[in-house]
Amino acid sequence: MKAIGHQRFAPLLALLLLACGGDSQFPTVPVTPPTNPVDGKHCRNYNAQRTPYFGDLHVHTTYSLDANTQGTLTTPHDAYRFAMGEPLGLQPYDANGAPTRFAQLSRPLDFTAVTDHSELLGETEICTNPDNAGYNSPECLFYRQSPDQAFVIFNFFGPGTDGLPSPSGGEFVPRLPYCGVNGERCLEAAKTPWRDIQRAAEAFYDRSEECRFTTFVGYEYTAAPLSNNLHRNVIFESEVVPEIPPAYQEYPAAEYLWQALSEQCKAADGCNYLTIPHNSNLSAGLMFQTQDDAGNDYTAEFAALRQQNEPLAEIYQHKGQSECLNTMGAGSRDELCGFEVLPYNNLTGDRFGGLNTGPPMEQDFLREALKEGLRLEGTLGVNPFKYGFIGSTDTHLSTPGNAREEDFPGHAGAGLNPRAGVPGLTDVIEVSPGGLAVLWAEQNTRESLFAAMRRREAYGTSGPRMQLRLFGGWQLPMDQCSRGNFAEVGYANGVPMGGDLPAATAGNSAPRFAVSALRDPGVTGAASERAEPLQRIQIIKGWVDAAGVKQEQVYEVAGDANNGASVDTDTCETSGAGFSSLCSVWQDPDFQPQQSAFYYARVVQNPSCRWATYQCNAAQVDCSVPDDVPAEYADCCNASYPKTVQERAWTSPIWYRAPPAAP
Amino acid sequence: MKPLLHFLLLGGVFFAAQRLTENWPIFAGTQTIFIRSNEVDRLQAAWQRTQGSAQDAAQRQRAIQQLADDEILVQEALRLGLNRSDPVVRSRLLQNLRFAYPDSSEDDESLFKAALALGMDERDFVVRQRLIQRMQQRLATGAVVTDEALRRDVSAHPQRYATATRVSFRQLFVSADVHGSDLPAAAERLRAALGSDAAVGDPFVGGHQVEGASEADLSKIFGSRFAQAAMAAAPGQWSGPIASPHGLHFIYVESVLAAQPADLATVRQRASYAVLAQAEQHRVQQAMVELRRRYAVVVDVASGAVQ
Repeated sequence: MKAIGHQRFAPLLALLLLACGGDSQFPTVPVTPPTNPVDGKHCRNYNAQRTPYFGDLHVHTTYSLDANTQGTLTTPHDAYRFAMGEPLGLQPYDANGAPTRFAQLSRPLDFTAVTDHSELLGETEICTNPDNAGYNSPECLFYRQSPDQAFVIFNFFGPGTDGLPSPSGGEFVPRLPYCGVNGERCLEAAKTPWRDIQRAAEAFYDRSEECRFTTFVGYEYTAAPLSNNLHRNVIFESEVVPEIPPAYQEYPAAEYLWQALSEQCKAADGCNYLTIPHNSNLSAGLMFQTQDDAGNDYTAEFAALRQQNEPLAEIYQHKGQSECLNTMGAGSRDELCGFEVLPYNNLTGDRFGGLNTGPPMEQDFLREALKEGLRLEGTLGVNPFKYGFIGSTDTHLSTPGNAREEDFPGHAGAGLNPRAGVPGLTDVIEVSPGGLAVLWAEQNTRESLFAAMRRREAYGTSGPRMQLRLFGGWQLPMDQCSRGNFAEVGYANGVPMGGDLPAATAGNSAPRFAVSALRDPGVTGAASERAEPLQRIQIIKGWVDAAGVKQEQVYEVAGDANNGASVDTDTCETSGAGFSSLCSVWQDPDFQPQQSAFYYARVVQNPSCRWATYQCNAAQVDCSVPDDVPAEYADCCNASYPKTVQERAWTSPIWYRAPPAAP
Repeated sequence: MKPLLHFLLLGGVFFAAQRLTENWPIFAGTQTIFIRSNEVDRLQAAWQRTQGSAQDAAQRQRAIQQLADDEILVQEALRLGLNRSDPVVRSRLLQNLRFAYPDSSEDDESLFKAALALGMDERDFVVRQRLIQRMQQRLATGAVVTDEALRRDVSAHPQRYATATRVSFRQLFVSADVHGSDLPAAAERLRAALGSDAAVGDPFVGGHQVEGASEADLSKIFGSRFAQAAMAAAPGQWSGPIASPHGLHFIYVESVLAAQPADLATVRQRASYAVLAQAEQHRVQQAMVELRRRYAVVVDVASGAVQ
């Protein structure tokens, strides 16, 4: 029933076998290097040493069923207007359809991709667009009358259903009945919003030399068998995109998605894509499992396919971080892994009182996946989990980049949040305002930004806009920080974040890493936005030892963990010194040439209030008198969640690959 | 068995039809429109739920007008015969009857006529919405994007379309991290040396040369106060020190590229999308003002007549 996987990849397999040659000792499957040539110098602020561009690659609008059921009426046009700094009205709407709340960024983003769910795009359109024949079907009536329940049921029986075998031996996931036979009606319906999404991206992409703002056409591939999250955001480089976004119902595993994209989005036609998994923390062990959909162990070609399609993963968003869990093994040394951990392991969350979910699992977190990637590379010759990092929001309110703790309006989707209009905390206590994606690019164009994603010269932040650089190399000068041209020296003598260390040459004892961070300056004036100074930079190294055991080590490389910075949680006033910038050249003191490893940097700010603390203070909640705490603010006194956070950023890793052992 | 099945199916259809239509006005076939009071009450309850307060008289009147507008559009669509020509209406009505009579051997045309004879086109929710949308499309037709409207929209949204002033400069930096409380004195020492080889500041990890930066670009690195001051600095000379969250900066502005108003030719295609959407919305609103004059609106007796 699942033979589909390898039949489809037969031509690729043949090519790869040719490429493998006769090297039985260490099979090498070449992962094609980025082939997208960066466009020429086009923008007025072109910078050969590259500029960090801040954006959001995970944004939902009314075209996503889960946003729509929460009353979101804002469109992709609205999302892009908001990202460019214009105010946006939010639900609930009054009788005239006028919004009753407003949001506005204190500083615009540089780029955004609207990524509505493709799977339910058709269904949502059918239920909300009277032109669609299914508008008055019982499912749609139910959906419009009881959107809360509809979310759960639609997701459980739509993308939440495991692939079922069909009589013909293929694999399919049944669509809801109103989609008609084989889902054709839903496909037809999806064309309209998909076209609207493309038009909005075109309307707000600044193609002039001003290069003020870049949009990407994209969508979310919503694979969630039994609510275990395997979602991917698909980002297209240009306006050339598939006619219909390949969805989970037709392509019920990531490898089928990649195959469909490779067929429907060809570079020869000007179509390029990549897929970005998110919320691996909610995949219940599935996101980084080491078998394909057919239950076969990873092969070199399959690993290469994954690496080729997925250079980046989302490390943080509304539904928690996916960096590290800190519950087992060496990870228990890293107390900063306690940041924004969701207490369950799939999308069901607390919805059914803990049924169909469990505690979070270490293997679902990227640090562990990177180690597993090294382990697989040792046996396959190719690393399937070679992920760089970005952050994003996953907003379901069409509010990209709205990641501030001070005014979190809630996730407003995925059925987690209270209904709009109900007073109290704007969302359940475990979610958070999400983060940003940052791309180091020569200029703010689709081509330049997409190339940065491909080469993983990217990092994620938990919201603030610190500027973070990482270079790795054998001959980086130890005084690189005191030279005036940190970046130039870094590019000339090493590789930036996301890259591979070149092979060591004779006389190089251990690799060096040059890391620098510049604090978020914040915003002063009317639309002020506070930002804390930096506290420290760490480098996290992961490897697999000779006994096959995964290891990690966190090194403090700059700043001061004990700088005495603190925050008064009653007022959210911060105190204590921090750093405006931090910089260090660090050489691995424990380097073993025969051990492959990855290195990434993490910079943290001084502590500040968590989003709920601001809201609890504003409501004057007094936890010392439990009986007086209103039910809707009960979680203000939930000791399981911290009052403060240390905002942070994570660079994409740099990899060191050990030479094959002598035969 | 079959008659029972038909009975159950028909029962279901009637039940569904009743549920669907009970909130809709009774049509008198005249230019008077009746709005049921329970429909008005439903909107009132929804408002109360989300806003936490009752509608005032004006808000209630607006809610009634909303219901009336929909009904006017349906009646206009019927008057123009859109119910007989629209393919979506036709397919929806056929779908209803094929569901009700799964074994019927009647051809589509007969079934369609039967549906119209039953008045299903006035009650089915999908058909109503389709007719409303068709009417709105008709009313919007003819909206044009004039150069005048484009120019207005483009000049009203400089944040989308205009170009910014851009500066290129080199800087000497005095780090607050390095100098702490000695920062002002360190800056004075550097100022005294400006222009000479002795003028060497602290390393700035963001670089010492800035090319073609707008105020927004500078704000991202140095904060908004620095950005404003840098944009105002005279070219061809040292300026500063200018404060930022990082410390103090002396800058030497090498060139300034003046801001330009948006170039219509460059942004025409982008702006046209926005302007067309606005123009269509305006045209429908204007047409509704005219149509409302032809209809009297009556809220049913229980609530007392209105207008």
